[in-house]
Amino acid sequence: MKQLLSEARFDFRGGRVTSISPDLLNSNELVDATNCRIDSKYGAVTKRTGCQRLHQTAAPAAIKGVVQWDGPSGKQLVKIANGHLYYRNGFTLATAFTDEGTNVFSTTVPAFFMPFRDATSGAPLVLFIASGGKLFKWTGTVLTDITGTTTAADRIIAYHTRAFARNVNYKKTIFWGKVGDATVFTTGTKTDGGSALVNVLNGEEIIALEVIGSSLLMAAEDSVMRFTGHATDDIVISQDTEGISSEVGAVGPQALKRFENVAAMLNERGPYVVTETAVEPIGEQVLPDFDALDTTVLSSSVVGWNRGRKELMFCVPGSGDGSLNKTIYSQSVRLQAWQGPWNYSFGITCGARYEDTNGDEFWITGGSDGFLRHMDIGAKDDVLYDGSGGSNITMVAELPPLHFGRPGSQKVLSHIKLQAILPVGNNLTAGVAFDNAAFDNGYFVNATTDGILRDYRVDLNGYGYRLRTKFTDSSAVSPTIYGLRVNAYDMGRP
Amino acid sequence: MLTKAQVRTAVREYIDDPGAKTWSDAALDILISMTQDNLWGDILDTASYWNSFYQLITSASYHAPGYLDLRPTGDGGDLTNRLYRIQKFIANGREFYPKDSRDFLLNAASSVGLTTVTAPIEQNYTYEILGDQLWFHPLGTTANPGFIELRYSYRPAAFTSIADGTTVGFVDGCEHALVLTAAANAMHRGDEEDPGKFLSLAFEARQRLFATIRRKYHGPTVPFSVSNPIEMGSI
Repeated sequence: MKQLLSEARFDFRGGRVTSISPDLLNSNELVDATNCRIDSKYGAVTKRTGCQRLHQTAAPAAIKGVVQWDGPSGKQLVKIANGHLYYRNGFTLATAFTDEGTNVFSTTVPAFFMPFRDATSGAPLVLFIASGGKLFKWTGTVLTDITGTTTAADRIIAYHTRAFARNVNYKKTIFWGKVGDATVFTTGTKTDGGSALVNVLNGEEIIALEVIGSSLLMAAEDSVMRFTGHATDDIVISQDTEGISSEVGAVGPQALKRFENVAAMLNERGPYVVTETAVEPIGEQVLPDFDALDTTVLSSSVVGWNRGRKELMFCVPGSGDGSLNKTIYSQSVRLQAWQGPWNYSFGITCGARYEDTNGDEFWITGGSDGFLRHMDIGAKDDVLYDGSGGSNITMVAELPPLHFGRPGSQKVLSHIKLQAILPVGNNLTAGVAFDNAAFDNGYFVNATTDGILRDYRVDLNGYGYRLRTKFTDSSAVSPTIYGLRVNAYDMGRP
Repeated sequence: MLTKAQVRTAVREYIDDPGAKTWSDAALDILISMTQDNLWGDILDTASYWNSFYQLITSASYHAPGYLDLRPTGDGGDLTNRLYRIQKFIANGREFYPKDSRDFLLNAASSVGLTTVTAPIEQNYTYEILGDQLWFHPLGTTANPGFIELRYSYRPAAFTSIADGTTVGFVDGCEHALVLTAAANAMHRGDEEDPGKFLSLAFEARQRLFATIRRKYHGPTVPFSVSNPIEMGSI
């Protein structure tokens, strides 16, 4: 009779790690977390949530910008597509978007939004939109082109009661408007508009703008600069080696995104977090994944922030994504652990914070196919606006190889004791493979699937030395794995 | 009477392998088949005529110069069943006896496979078993009988060769011995688990099996006894 060996895994908070040899991973890390999410009850791993279209009919072209803002009639969704502005008040998905009518927006570059008060103190909030060298003001019902009195903006952001913009013709210069009035960029007194050349030494253009703390971040391709101050007599632009970074910058205009009190940034060297003083790499666990992206279109990447989940979203072009952002690598900010890749059938062109009718915070995206989507809902992908349709999501969670404390000694598998929530309709498989053999699915003994956390026995088969264990589910529901204990016999053979 | 599927399922339940992850159906069937054959050897050694079969073989079915192929017909032989032991051999109405193995000198002609024998040098009206062949003497077509009657004990169809819904050939009511012995054998796999308790249970079931096959009647009655032996507990 052989000795029974046992190895347990009850913590998956380490998330996906691909930059370290699988045999060297910590026990709470995962070799693969495709379409997985570290559960909100920390320790467990589950399938990521699905997504749903926010309207019935696709826009005529790819979405170039989306925002939800507090318009005069409450929450209003605005999207830019095919040169037009479309808007919808409220939360009724069956209500069609209204086309503002004019064809004035860029059809090739992303649009940027800036909710700001109107020209006078106490005036209602309006939405400023920069698109391909034009600046617009949107009141919720009326669109006005204000490029003539401002600047040919293709980036816009509010900082210190001023509007800051990049001019499409002067990309190495930061322009700012009058204090409290984003419709005027003319120079004059220190409270009027102004401009300054930045990144003088290396001459790179401004790529992305973001505001954190008391700083306006200006990211170039390989540097991040800091703008502080209120007026011409106290403005300080820290750049080059005095800036936040003279080493890394943003890959694209949507690759810099504030979350909490810092900003996430995607560089060609991987993801970073930007503070007011420095940048820190945050993606060392998954660098091989970022290295494998389609670098020819990396500049179109979108960094998003799911405020409700406290998750960063790096929407990136995978090598098989057809030059679209069909892949998301997500970081659970509280755990600083990675999830994904999350694979989608559509390209993501832009994203925005989204508050639903209950006030819960989510994240929405604009798609290359002309649809806006709620990106954190249900268990199926691309569900239609009315809740019908959609496609199943396939999750794969692979554990680091198990050696049962005896690498190099042959083991024969017995069974897994699995603690999991298996909803009705799931098709979770527990695959095991010794020594790079094909995965063989275990047999669930008397499996009751009722969505209650239960203990399951999974019988296994196989001989070998180095055991890989993988959980897969391609159903329309979302199973959750809380932990497992794998049992095997030590054969005592070298 | 249990079917093949029922026996396999019972073994699976005992070894706690309902999903066939430790033993595949094919591998387990082979194990059960070997166990079944082993037990049939024990059964037929204890009760020689438990499975006894009479088979009439015509001249067309045996082979020149004078032997039978003892393999089952399904394997290319002459027998209807899987031979365990020859019990009676009659050719042309005359009973033959096993050849005395000490007559090895007279054995020469048939042992080397001569097909034409002019002199009856073998001891007449004997038979000998050479591998899968039963040779009977005298050899030669002129001496060959017109028909052969054979009675032999046999093992039933192998577990691996019958369908899931077919009844397994075993002593009715004693299948527990087969199930438990097979389960004990299965638990031996890789010396992973201790089959000891299964062996104990299998031993008990095997004893009941032997008690069953020793006789099918209640035993001798005693004249003038106040009761019959069953009631006295002597059987």
